[in-house]
Amino acid sequence: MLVELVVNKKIHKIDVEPQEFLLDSLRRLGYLSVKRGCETSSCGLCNVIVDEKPVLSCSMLTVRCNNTMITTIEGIQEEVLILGEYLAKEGADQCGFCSPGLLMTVIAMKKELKNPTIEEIEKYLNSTLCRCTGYKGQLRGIEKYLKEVTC
Amino acid sequence: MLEIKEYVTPSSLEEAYKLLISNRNNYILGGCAFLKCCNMKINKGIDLKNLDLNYIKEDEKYIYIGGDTSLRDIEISTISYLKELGNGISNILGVPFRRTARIGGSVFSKYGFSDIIPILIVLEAEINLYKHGVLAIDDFLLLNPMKDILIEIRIPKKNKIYFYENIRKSSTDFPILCAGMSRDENNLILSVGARPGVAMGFKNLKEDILNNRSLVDEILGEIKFSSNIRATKEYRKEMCKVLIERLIKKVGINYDWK
Repeated sequence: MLVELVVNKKIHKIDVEPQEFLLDSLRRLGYLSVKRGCETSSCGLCNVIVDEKPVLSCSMLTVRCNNTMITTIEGIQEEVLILGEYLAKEGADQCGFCSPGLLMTVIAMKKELKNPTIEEIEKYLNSTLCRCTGYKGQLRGIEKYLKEVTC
Repeated sequence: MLEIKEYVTPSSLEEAYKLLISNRNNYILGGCAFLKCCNMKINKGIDLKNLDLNYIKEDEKYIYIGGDTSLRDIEISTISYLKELGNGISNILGVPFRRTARIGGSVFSKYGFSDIIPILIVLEAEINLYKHGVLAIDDFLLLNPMKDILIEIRIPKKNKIYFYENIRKSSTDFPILCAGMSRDENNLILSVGARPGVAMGFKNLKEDILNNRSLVDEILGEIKFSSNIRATKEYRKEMCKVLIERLIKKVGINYDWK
Protein backbone atom coordinates (compact mmCIF):
# COMPACT_ATOMS: atom_id res chain seq x y z
CA MET A 1 0.00 0.00 0.00
CA LEU A 2 1.19 3.49 -0.76
CA VAL A 3 1.07 5.74 2.30
CA GLU A 4 2.05 9.32 2.88
CA LEU A 5 3.94 9.94 6.10
CA VAL A 6 4.73 13.42 7.29
CA VAL A 7 7.83 12.95 9.42
CA ASN A 8 9.36 16.03 11.01
CA LYS A 9 7.41 18.14 8.50
CA LYS A 10 8.92 16.25 5.58
CA ILE A 11 6.59 14.26 3.32
CA HIS A 12 7.51 10.68 2.47
CA LYS A 13 5.54 8.48 0.10
CA ILE A 14 6.39 4.87 0.79
CA ASP A 15 5.06 1.47 -0.14
CA VAL A 16 4.33 -0.66 2.92
CA GLU A 17 2.84 -4.04 3.71
CA PRO A 18 -0.38 -3.73 5.78
CA GLN A 19 1.29 -5.44 8.74
CA GLU A 20 4.35 -3.17 8.74
CA PHE A 21 4.79 -1.23 11.95
CA LEU A 22 5.80 2.41 12.14
CA LEU A 23 9.08 1.51 13.82
CA ASP A 24 10.22 -0.40 10.74
CA SER A 25 9.01 2.26 8.32
CA LEU A 26 10.75 5.08 10.19
CA ARG A 27 14.03 3.22 10.40
CA ARG A 28 13.71 2.33 6.72
CA LEU A 29 13.36 6.04 6.01
CA GLY A 30 16.54 6.74 7.93
CA TYR A 31 15.12 7.94 11.25
CA LEU A 32 17.51 5.82 13.24
CA SER A 33 16.89 7.58 16.55
CA VAL A 34 13.82 5.36 16.77
CA LYS A 35 15.18 2.29 18.53
CA ARG A 36 14.01 -1.29 18.43
CA GLY A 37 13.65 -2.61 21.97
CA CYS A 38 11.30 -5.23 23.36
CA GLU A 39 8.77 -5.12 20.50
CA THR A 40 6.09 -6.19 23.00
CA SER A 41 4.90 -2.68 23.90
CA SER A 42 6.71 -2.82 27.23
CA CYS A 43 9.91 -0.76 27.13
CA GLY A 44 9.12 2.57 25.46
CA LEU A 45 12.35 2.72 23.47
CA CYS A 46 10.51 3.25 20.21
CA ASN A 47 8.30 6.13 21.40
CA VAL A 48 7.56 8.80 18.83
CA ILE A 49 5.00 11.56 18.72
CA VAL A 50 2.06 11.14 16.33
CA ASP A 51 -0.30 14.10 16.06
CA GLU A 52 1.18 15.54 19.27
CA LYS A 53 0.58 12.38 21.28
CA PRO A 54 3.22 9.84 22.31
CA VAL A 55 2.79 6.38 20.80
CA LEU A 56 4.79 3.19 20.64
CA SER A 57 5.98 2.93 17.05
CA CYS A 58 6.43 -0.83 17.49
CA SER A 59 2.66 -1.16 18.05
CA MET A 60 1.32 1.27 15.48
CA LEU A 61 0.61 0.05 11.97
CA THR A 62 2.19 2.36 9.42
CA VAL A 63 -0.97 2.35 7.31
CA ARG A 64 -2.80 3.94 10.25
CA CYS A 65 -0.36 6.86 10.17
CA ASN A 66 -1.31 7.88 6.67
CA ASN A 67 -1.46 11.70 6.65
CA THR A 68 -0.55 12.10 10.32
CA MET A 69 2.21 14.34 11.68
CA ILE A 70 5.03 12.23 13.07
CA THR A 71 7.83 13.68 15.16
CA THR A 72 11.10 11.95 15.99
CA ILE A 73 14.16 13.33 17.76
CA GLU A 74 15.67 14.29 14.41
CA GLY A 75 12.91 16.89 14.09
CA ILE A 76 13.29 18.57 17.48
CA GLN A 77 17.04 18.74 17.92
CA GLU A 78 17.14 22.08 19.76
CA GLU A 79 14.47 21.12 22.29
CA VAL A 80 16.09 17.79 22.93
CA LEU A 81 19.54 19.33 23.44
CA ILE A 82 18.13 21.52 26.20
CA LEU A 83 16.48 18.55 27.89
CA GLY A 84 19.69 16.55 27.48
CA GLU A 85 21.62 19.25 29.35
CA TYR A 86 19.24 19.02 32.29
CA LEU A 87 19.75 15.26 32.41
CA ALA A 88 23.53 15.58 32.15
CA LYS A 89 23.65 18.12 34.97
CA GLU A 90 21.94 15.61 37.26
CA GLY A 91 24.38 12.87 36.31
CA ALA A 92 21.72 10.84 34.56
CA ASP A 93 24.31 9.02 32.48
CA GLN A 94 22.99 6.39 30.16
CA CYS A 95 24.38 4.21 27.43
CA GLY A 96 22.04 6.19 25.23
CA PHE A 97 20.02 3.39 23.70
CA CYS A 98 16.83 4.21 25.57
CA SER A 99 17.37 7.99 25.56
CA PRO A 100 15.34 8.74 22.41
CA GLY A 101 12.26 7.01 23.81
CA LEU A 102 12.59 8.75 27.17
CA LEU A 103 13.18 12.17 25.63
CA MET A 104 10.20 11.90 23.28
CA THR A 105 7.95 10.90 26.18
CA VAL A 106 9.13 13.85 28.27
CA ILE A 107 8.57 16.26 25.38
CA ALA A 108 5.04 14.87 24.98
CA MET A 109 4.44 15.11 28.73
CA LYS A 110 5.51 18.75 28.74
CA LYS A 111 2.78 19.50 26.21
CA GLU A 112 0.10 17.43 27.97
CA LEU A 113 0.60 18.10 31.69
CA LYS A 114 0.74 21.50 33.31
CA ASN A 115 3.01 21.73 36.36
CA PRO A 116 3.04 17.98 37.02
CA THR A 117 3.95 16.67 40.47
CA ILE A 118 6.78 14.18 40.81
CA GLU A 119 4.17 11.42 41.21
CA GLU A 120 2.49 12.47 37.96
CA ILE A 121 5.87 12.53 36.20
CA GLU A 122 6.69 9.05 37.46
CA LYS A 123 3.31 7.75 36.38
CA TYR A 124 3.63 9.29 32.93
CA LEU A 125 7.06 7.71 32.49
CA ASN A 126 5.88 4.28 33.59
CA SER A 127 6.95 1.71 31.04
CA THR A 128 9.72 3.91 29.68
CA LEU A 129 12.55 1.68 30.77
CA CYS A 130 16.27 2.26 31.31
CA ARG A 131 18.47 -0.68 32.22
CA CYS A 132 21.58 1.39 33.06
CA THR A 133 20.44 3.77 35.75
CA GLY A 134 18.16 3.88 38.74
CA TYR A 135 15.96 6.63 37.29
CA LYS A 136 16.58 9.07 40.16
CA GLY A 137 19.01 11.29 38.26
CA GLN A 138 16.68 11.37 35.28
CA LEU A 139 13.72 12.25 37.45
CA ARG A 140 15.59 15.16 39.04
CA GLY A 141 16.62 16.43 35.62
CA ILE A 142 13.15 16.04 34.15
CA GLU A 143 11.49 17.73 37.13
CA LYS A 144 13.80 20.74 36.79
CA TYR A 145 13.37 20.85 33.03
CA LEU A 146 9.57 20.87 33.31
CA LYS A 147 9.68 23.60 35.93
CA GLU A 148 12.20 25.86 34.23
CA VAL A 149 11.58 25.45 30.52
CA THR A 150 8.22 26.92 29.65
CA CYS A 151 7.85 26.71 25.88
CA MET B 1 4.25 -13.49 13.24
CA LEU B 2 1.45 -11.17 12.17
CA GLU B 3 0.37 -11.08 8.55
CA ILE B 4 -2.34 -8.84 7.15
CA LYS B 5 -3.30 -9.38 3.54
CA GLU B 6 -5.39 -6.24 3.17
CA TYR B 7 -6.06 -3.16 5.28
CA VAL B 8 -9.52 -1.62 4.93
CA THR B 9 -11.21 1.44 6.43
CA PRO B 10 -14.98 1.06 5.99
CA SER B 11 -17.13 4.17 6.03
CA SER B 12 -20.15 2.67 7.79
CA LEU B 13 -20.86 0.07 10.47
CA GLU B 14 -22.90 -1.96 7.99
CA GLU B 15 -19.96 -2.08 5.58
CA ALA B 16 -17.59 -2.97 8.42
CA TYR B 17 -19.87 -5.80 9.59
CA LYS B 18 -20.30 -7.18 6.08
CA LEU B 19 -16.53 -7.21 5.65
CA LEU B 20 -16.11 -8.85 9.04
CA ILE B 21 -18.43 -11.77 8.35
CA SER B 22 -17.38 -12.28 4.73
CA ASN B 23 -14.32 -14.30 5.74
CA ARG B 24 -13.48 -16.08 9.00
CA ASN B 25 -10.00 -14.54 8.89
CA ASN B 26 -11.25 -10.97 8.73
CA TYR B 27 -10.81 -9.09 12.00
CA ILE B 28 -11.50 -5.70 13.54
CA LEU B 29 -8.07 -4.25 14.29
CA GLY B 30 -8.69 -2.36 17.55
CA GLY B 31 -5.50 -0.78 18.81
CA CYS B 32 -3.28 -3.62 17.50
CA ALA B 33 -1.25 -3.49 20.69
CA PHE B 34 -1.63 -7.21 21.42
CA LEU B 35 -2.32 -8.32 17.88
CA LYS B 36 1.33 -7.95 17.02
CA CYS B 37 2.29 -10.48 19.70
CA CYS B 38 0.08 -13.09 18.04
CA ASN B 39 0.91 -15.55 15.34
CA MET B 40 -1.98 -14.65 13.03
CA LYS B 41 -2.78 -14.53 9.37
CA ILE B 42 -5.44 -11.90 8.83
CA ASN B 43 -7.19 -11.70 5.50
CA LYS B 44 -8.71 -8.24 5.94
CA GLY B 45 -7.72 -6.01 8.84
CA ILE B 46 -10.69 -3.72 9.43
CA ASP B 47 -9.88 -0.32 10.92
CA LEU B 48 -12.86 1.57 12.40
CA LYS B 49 -11.10 4.92 12.42
CA ASN B 50 -13.51 6.53 9.93
CA LEU B 51 -16.64 5.61 11.91
CA ASP B 52 -16.46 8.33 14.57
CA LEU B 53 -16.40 5.84 17.42
CA ASN B 54 -13.82 7.83 19.34
CA TYR B 55 -15.88 9.70 21.94
CA ILE B 56 -16.86 10.00 25.58
CA LYS B 57 -20.18 11.71 26.07
CA GLU B 58 -22.94 11.73 28.65
CA ASP B 59 -26.60 12.46 29.17
CA GLU B 60 -28.72 12.28 32.29
CA LYS B 61 -28.76 8.48 32.42
CA TYR B 62 -25.57 7.22 30.84
CA ILE B 63 -21.94 7.85 30.01
CA TYR B 64 -21.20 6.60 26.48
CA ILE B 65 -17.70 5.52 25.48
CA GLY B 66 -17.15 4.78 21.79
CA GLY B 67 -15.44 1.50 20.92
CA ASP B 68 -12.56 3.25 19.16
CA THR B 69 -11.75 5.47 22.15
CA SER B 70 -8.20 5.20 23.42
CA LEU B 71 -7.59 4.07 26.98
CA ARG B 72 -5.68 7.28 27.59
CA ASP B 73 -8.70 9.41 26.65
CA ILE B 74 -10.78 7.57 29.26
CA GLU B 75 -8.02 7.91 31.83
CA ILE B 76 -7.86 11.69 31.49
CA SER B 77 -11.61 12.21 31.08
CA THR B 78 -12.93 15.01 33.27
CA ILE B 79 -16.17 13.11 34.03
CA SER B 80 -15.83 12.52 37.77
CA TYR B 81 -17.77 9.22 37.72
CA LEU B 82 -15.02 7.76 35.49
CA LYS B 83 -12.21 8.69 37.88
CA GLU B 84 -11.73 5.23 39.43
CA LEU B 85 -12.07 3.60 36.00
CA GLY B 86 -9.28 5.95 34.87
CA ASN B 87 -7.19 4.95 37.89
CA GLY B 88 -7.62 1.29 36.98
CA ILE B 89 -6.68 1.96 33.38
CA SER B 90 -3.58 3.88 34.44
CA ASN B 91 -2.09 0.57 35.64
CA ILE B 92 -1.86 -0.66 32.05
CA LEU B 93 1.71 -0.22 30.79
CA GLY B 94 2.64 3.37 29.87
CA VAL B 95 0.96 6.42 28.39
CA PRO B 96 2.13 5.70 24.80
CA PHE B 97 0.60 2.23 25.02
CA ARG B 98 -2.68 3.51 26.44
CA ARG B 99 -2.76 6.13 23.69
CA THR B 100 -2.73 3.32 21.11
CA ALA B 101 -4.94 0.71 22.82
CA ARG B 102 -8.69 0.98 22.27
CA ILE B 103 -11.42 0.21 24.80
CA GLY B 104 -13.36 -1.78 22.19
CA GLY B 105 -10.45 -4.12 21.51
CA SER B 106 -9.76 -4.53 25.19
CA VAL B 107 -13.33 -5.35 26.19
CA PHE B 108 -14.47 -7.33 23.14
CA SER B 109 -11.45 -9.64 23.41
CA LYS B 110 -12.46 -10.49 27.02
CA TYR B 111 -8.85 -10.70 28.11
CA GLY B 112 -8.53 -12.53 31.41
CA PHE B 113 -5.84 -10.10 32.52
CA SER B 114 -8.04 -7.09 31.80
CA ASP B 115 -7.96 -4.29 34.37
CA ILE B 116 -11.01 -2.76 32.71
CA ILE B 117 -13.60 -5.55 32.69
CA PRO B 118 -13.77 -5.99 36.50
CA ILE B 119 -14.49 -2.27 36.84
CA LEU B 120 -17.14 -2.32 34.12
CA ILE B 121 -18.84 -5.23 35.92
CA VAL B 122 -19.22 -3.31 39.17
CA LEU B 123 -20.37 -0.27 37.20
CA GLU B 124 -23.07 -2.50 35.62
CA ALA B 125 -21.98 -1.37 32.18
CA GLU B 126 -23.84 -2.29 29.03
CA ILE B 127 -22.15 -3.30 25.80
CA ASN B 128 -23.66 -2.07 22.56
CA LEU B 129 -22.85 -4.50 19.77
CA TYR B 130 -23.78 -3.96 16.14
CA LYS B 131 -25.48 -7.33 15.64
CA HIS B 132 -26.32 -8.53 19.16
CA GLY B 133 -27.63 -5.16 20.35
CA VAL B 134 -27.25 -3.83 23.88
CA LEU B 135 -26.23 -6.45 26.45
CA ALA B 136 -25.48 -6.25 30.15
CA ILE B 137 -21.77 -6.86 30.55
CA ASP B 138 -22.43 -10.06 32.52
CA ASP B 139 -24.41 -11.48 29.58
CA PHE B 140 -21.81 -10.28 27.10
CA LEU B 141 -19.05 -12.08 28.98
CA LEU B 142 -21.00 -15.34 28.80
CA LEU B 143 -21.26 -15.26 25.00
CA ASN B 144 -19.04 -17.54 22.97
CA PRO B 145 -16.47 -15.91 20.66
CA MET B 146 -18.35 -14.32 17.78
CA LYS B 147 -18.11 -11.92 14.89
CA ASP B 148 -19.54 -8.57 15.91
CA ILE B 149 -18.53 -4.96 16.36
CA LEU B 150 -18.42 -3.23 19.72
CA ILE B 151 -19.98 0.15 19.01
CA GLU B 152 -19.93 1.64 22.49
CA ILE B 153 -19.91 0.97 26.20
CA ARG B 154 -22.72 2.51 28.22
CA ILE B 155 -22.15 3.20 31.87
CA PRO B 156 -25.36 3.89 33.77
CA LYS B 157 -25.07 6.87 36.09
CA LYS B 158 -25.98 5.58 39.51
CA ASN B 159 -25.60 6.95 42.96
CA LYS B 160 -22.88 4.50 43.84
CA ILE B 161 -19.27 4.39 44.91
CA TYR B 162 -16.84 1.95 43.36
CA PHE B 163 -13.23 0.98 43.80
CA TYR B 164 -10.61 -1.14 42.12
CA GLU B 165 -7.69 -3.08 43.59
CA ASN B 166 -5.02 -5.22 41.98
CA ILE B 167 -1.80 -7.10 42.63
CA ARG B 168 1.07 -7.04 40.13
CA LYS B 169 4.67 -8.13 40.31
CA SER B 170 5.76 -4.78 38.91
CA SER B 171 3.82 -1.67 38.15
CA THR B 172 3.58 -2.24 34.41
CA ASP B 173 3.10 -6.00 34.40
CA PHE B 174 -0.19 -7.82 33.88
CA PRO B 175 -2.18 -8.16 37.11
CA ILE B 176 -1.80 -11.38 39.06
CA LEU B 177 -5.24 -10.70 40.43
CA CYS B 178 -7.64 -7.78 40.34
CA ALA B 179 -10.99 -6.97 41.88
CA GLY B 180 -13.61 -4.27 41.94
CA MET B 181 -16.45 -3.46 44.32
CA SER B 182 -19.33 -1.05 44.11
CA ARG B 183 -21.98 -0.09 46.61
CA ASP B 184 -25.20 1.82 46.37
CA GLU B 185 -28.23 2.03 48.58
CA ASN B 186 -29.53 -1.40 47.60
CA ASN B 187 -26.72 -3.30 46.01
CA LEU B 188 -23.17 -4.47 46.68
CA ILE B 189 -21.30 -5.89 43.70
CA LEU B 190 -17.93 -7.64 43.64
CA SER B 191 -15.88 -8.63 40.61
CA VAL B 192 -12.70 -10.66 40.48
CA GLY B 193 -10.45 -10.72 37.42
CA ALA B 194 -7.12 -12.24 36.33
CA ARG B 195 -8.15 -15.47 38.08
CA PRO B 196 -6.50 -15.83 35.43
CA GLY B 197 -9.73 -16.33 33.49
CA VAL B 198 -12.05 -13.54 32.47
CA ALA B 199 -13.53 -11.58 35.37
CA MET B 200 -16.50 -12.93 37.36
CA GLY B 201 -19.14 -10.74 38.95
CA PHE B 202 -21.16 -11.29 42.12
CA LYS B 203 -24.26 -9.16 42.43
CA ASN B 204 -26.56 -8.53 45.35
CA LEU B 205 -23.99 -9.38 47.98
CA LYS B 206 -25.33 -9.14 51.49
CA GLU B 207 -24.47 -5.90 53.23
CA ASP B 208 -23.48 -8.14 56.15
CA ILE B 209 -20.24 -8.84 54.34
CA LEU B 210 -19.06 -5.43 55.48
CA ASN B 211 -19.07 -6.64 59.08
CA ASN B 212 -19.03 -10.41 58.78
CA ARG B 213 -15.82 -11.70 57.22
CA SER B 214 -16.95 -15.34 57.21
CA LEU B 215 -19.15 -14.37 54.27
CA VAL B 216 -15.97 -13.60 52.32
CA ASP B 217 -14.99 -17.26 52.57
CA GLU B 218 -18.38 -18.22 51.13
CA ILE B 219 -17.74 -16.02 48.10
CA LEU B 220 -14.20 -17.30 47.70
CA GLY B 221 -15.64 -20.79 47.44
CA GLU B 222 -17.60 -19.72 44.40
CA ILE B 223 -14.67 -18.19 42.53
CA LYS B 224 -12.71 -20.42 40.19
CA PHE B 225 -8.98 -19.72 40.45
CA SER B 226 -6.29 -21.35 38.36
CA SER B 227 -2.51 -21.35 38.14
CA ASN B 228 -0.41 -19.87 35.38
CA ILE B 229 3.08 -18.48 34.88
CA ARG B 230 2.34 -15.52 37.16
CA ALA B 231 0.87 -17.16 40.23
CA THR B 232 -0.58 -20.36 41.63
CA LYS B 233 -4.24 -21.00 42.25
CA GLU B 234 -3.60 -21.12 46.03
CA TYR B 235 -1.73 -17.81 46.03
CA ARG B 236 -4.51 -16.12 44.07
CA LYS B 237 -7.11 -17.38 46.51
CA GLU B 238 -5.19 -16.05 49.52
CA MET B 239 -4.54 -12.72 47.83
CA CYS B 240 -8.18 -12.44 46.84
CA LYS B 241 -9.07 -12.27 50.53
CA VAL B 242 -6.68 -9.33 50.85
CA LEU B 243 -8.18 -7.49 47.88
CA ILE B 244 -11.73 -8.05 49.11
CA GLU B 245 -10.71 -6.83 52.57
CA ARG B 246 -9.26 -3.66 51.06
CA LEU B 247 -12.37 -3.08 48.98
CA ILE B 248 -14.68 -3.68 51.92
CA LYS B 249 -12.77 -1.06 53.90
CA LYS B 250 -13.19 1.39 51.04
CA VAL B 251 -16.89 0.86 50.43
CA GLY B 252 -17.65 0.28 54.09
CA ILE B 253 -17.32 3.90 55.03
CA ASN B 254 -20.38 5.81 56.10
CA TYR B 255 -21.75 7.27 52.93
CA ASP B 256 -24.67 9.59 52.47
CA TRP B 257 -26.70 8.11 49.63
CA LYS B 258 -29.08 10.99 49.46
